[in-house]
Amino acid sequence: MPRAKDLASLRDQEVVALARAGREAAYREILRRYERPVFSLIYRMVRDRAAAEDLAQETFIKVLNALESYRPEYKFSSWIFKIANNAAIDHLRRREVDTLSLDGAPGARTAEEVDATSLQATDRRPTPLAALESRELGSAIERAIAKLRPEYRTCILLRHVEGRAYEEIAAALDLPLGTVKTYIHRARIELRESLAHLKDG
Amino acid sequence: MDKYLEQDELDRLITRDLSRLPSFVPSLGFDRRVMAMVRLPEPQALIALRRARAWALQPRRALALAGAYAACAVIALALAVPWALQHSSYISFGVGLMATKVIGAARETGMAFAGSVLTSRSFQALRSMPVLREHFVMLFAVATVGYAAAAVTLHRLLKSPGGKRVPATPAR
Repeated sequence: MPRAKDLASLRDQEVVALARAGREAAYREILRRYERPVFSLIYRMVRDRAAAEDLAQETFIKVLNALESYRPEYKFSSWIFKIANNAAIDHLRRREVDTLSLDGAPGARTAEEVDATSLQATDRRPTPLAALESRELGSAIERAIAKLRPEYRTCILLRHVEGRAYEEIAAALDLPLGTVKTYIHRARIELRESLAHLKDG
Repeated sequence: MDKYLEQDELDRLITRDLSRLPSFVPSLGFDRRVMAMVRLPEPQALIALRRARAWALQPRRALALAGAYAACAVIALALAVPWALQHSSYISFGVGLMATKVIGAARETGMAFAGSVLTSRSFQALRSMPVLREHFVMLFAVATVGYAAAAVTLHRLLKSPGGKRVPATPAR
């Protein structure tokens, strides 16, 4: 049976097999391998460190508790990125609903009704966490990525930041290969448009 | 033509910048928090043992297993006792030889230990010390005080926390 330091040289499928056999070290190895890419993907998707941490934690708990249901004929990375992406997209949808509710209840028609049902934000000063986020995600390219549609954002991040193959991205996002290529192409065009002014400057 | 070249250049720069983006790490203790929420599967051997126990502990099976065990024990005794009686002289010789060896080894070890203690410098120094009755009294007193202090400390440590007394019935 391989020792903890030997686990690093094993393929994902082998590590998963050891984890299924009850080896705690194999669980830690999965966590060590995917902690950074999963957290980075989620963080760039939701652009909120605290939420990204919660979602990454949720992703890993889901993945590690469901290793029995993982089918080894598929790439493990596709599976974990699929769960991470779904968690991020769900969060963005929830946040969108919450943001709408800030503007008052959906049934509010008059200005008074909107005022009465809208939530009041009392303090808009940046927190230390927000300052950290703006430092981390503040570069021009990060801002341009943030402007992309979520599905384009996931595709471009997985392709160019994580260096995943098109087929792997298609498997992770449950999309046809052609759609993934189109999304990446369109994302590149949008990035080009967003960043064109830098080239001029 | 220039426009396309410029576009290609920008594409190349974007791809390069994307691949150079840093990866982020979650805060310290992230892995510990995740592992605390993960249910680790039990090792296969333990699962097999638990299943075997559960199977064997059902009343009828337990009775059958106990009966089989008793039968095996009776058969083993029926075979072992006549054999032991038949070979008793050899067995007693073997046991005696083993006992002699073990006792001899223990004696040798004891003698060697005693010899090393008696010839040690600390023992010689202790022996040359003028031992008085007062020394023994003082040693005994220190040991008693130390023991009492340890007992009091233990008592304090183990004492249940004092709380405010609450009346059994609410005051009106």
